[in-house]
Amino acid sequence: MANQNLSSLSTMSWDNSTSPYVYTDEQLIARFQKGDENAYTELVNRYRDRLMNFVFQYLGEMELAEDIVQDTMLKLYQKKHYYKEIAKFSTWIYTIAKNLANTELRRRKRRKTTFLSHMTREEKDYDLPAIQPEPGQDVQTEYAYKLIQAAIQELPDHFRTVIILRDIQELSYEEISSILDVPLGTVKSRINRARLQLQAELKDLK
Amino acid sequence: MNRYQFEDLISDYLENSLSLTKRKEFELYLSKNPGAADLVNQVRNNMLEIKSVKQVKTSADFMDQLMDKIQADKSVISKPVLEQRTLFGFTPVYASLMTGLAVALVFVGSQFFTPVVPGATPGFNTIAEKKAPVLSNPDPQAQMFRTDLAAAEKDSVDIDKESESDRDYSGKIRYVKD
Repeated sequence: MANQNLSSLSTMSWDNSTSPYVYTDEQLIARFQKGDENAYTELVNRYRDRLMNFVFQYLGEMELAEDIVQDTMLKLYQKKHYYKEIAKFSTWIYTIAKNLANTELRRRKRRKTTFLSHMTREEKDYDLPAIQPEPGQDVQTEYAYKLIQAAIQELPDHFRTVIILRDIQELSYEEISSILDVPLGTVKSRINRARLQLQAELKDLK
Repeated sequence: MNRYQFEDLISDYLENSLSLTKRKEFELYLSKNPGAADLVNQVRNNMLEIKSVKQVKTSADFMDQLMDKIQADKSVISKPVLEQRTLFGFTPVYASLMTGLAVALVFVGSQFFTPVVPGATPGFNTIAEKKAPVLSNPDPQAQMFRTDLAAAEKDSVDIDKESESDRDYSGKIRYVKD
């Protein structure tokens, strides 16, 4: 029975009289907590691309980002009762995604350190791939996009997160403060410093 | 306003969240420092460029993959419940080990106590009784040995009594002066 429900989830839709768009995120999670799996599908559809953007900008890899977004949604399914309505749903789901992305980032750094320590002297002399404009229609835009992407990747983790959440995801300072669990003043200061550092990075790249 | 104070206020200025007095102070600094104005313009342009960054999307089969993951996760959770059989909270292996240990403990413990001989009476009066307890079906040789022992003991007690009476010198001793 449960399996049947699950397999039909992706194909299910809400009829017009009970359109999911009339529900807020908090109402949807409340319905899901009561066992309405259509509410889960709606939440996934609302957040999959937003989270994908956030995680992709944070990690810089499409496949990995999609895996992490899926894991985030899986966590949402497994731990639905952990959500309490004292916080916004968006803050809660972003926190899960950020924690999973951080875990992946730490794992990747550890792997990188191990590999470097096993490299010979010649092997260590490597170059980062050069960012060159590609021939085609939106060359300029593509080039600018790649520059920004590279500059964001160069930022330290705590600056990168705030820049993505504020300037790409356009979250409020309060939301960012809740997601990162740091004081509002710290968030403001980090965003300002991150913007200045990004400006310096882009100046170098251009 | 110095350079550090100016840099700290750039984001607030661009997001229009400075108080009127601070804003005037900031703009005064900008007018006096052309380099500072350039910096503010660059940061503003970067913010606009970042906002226009191409948005990525999840793949078309995202939902199907997610459902597969949920399905796999459900089967992983339900499997061990079926396989796990316990006896008083122990798995069969641990239950047998614990039983073995308990039996071994009882056996070792029993070795510390001396076995009680059937027919033996508590408290002995003579050496003979102590050495050879009375059995329900006595061996004739042992019976004889015990009788000898009892006789020998009696003799020694009699001799002791005799010697004690011999040693009674009252009325036999006379003082020299008497």
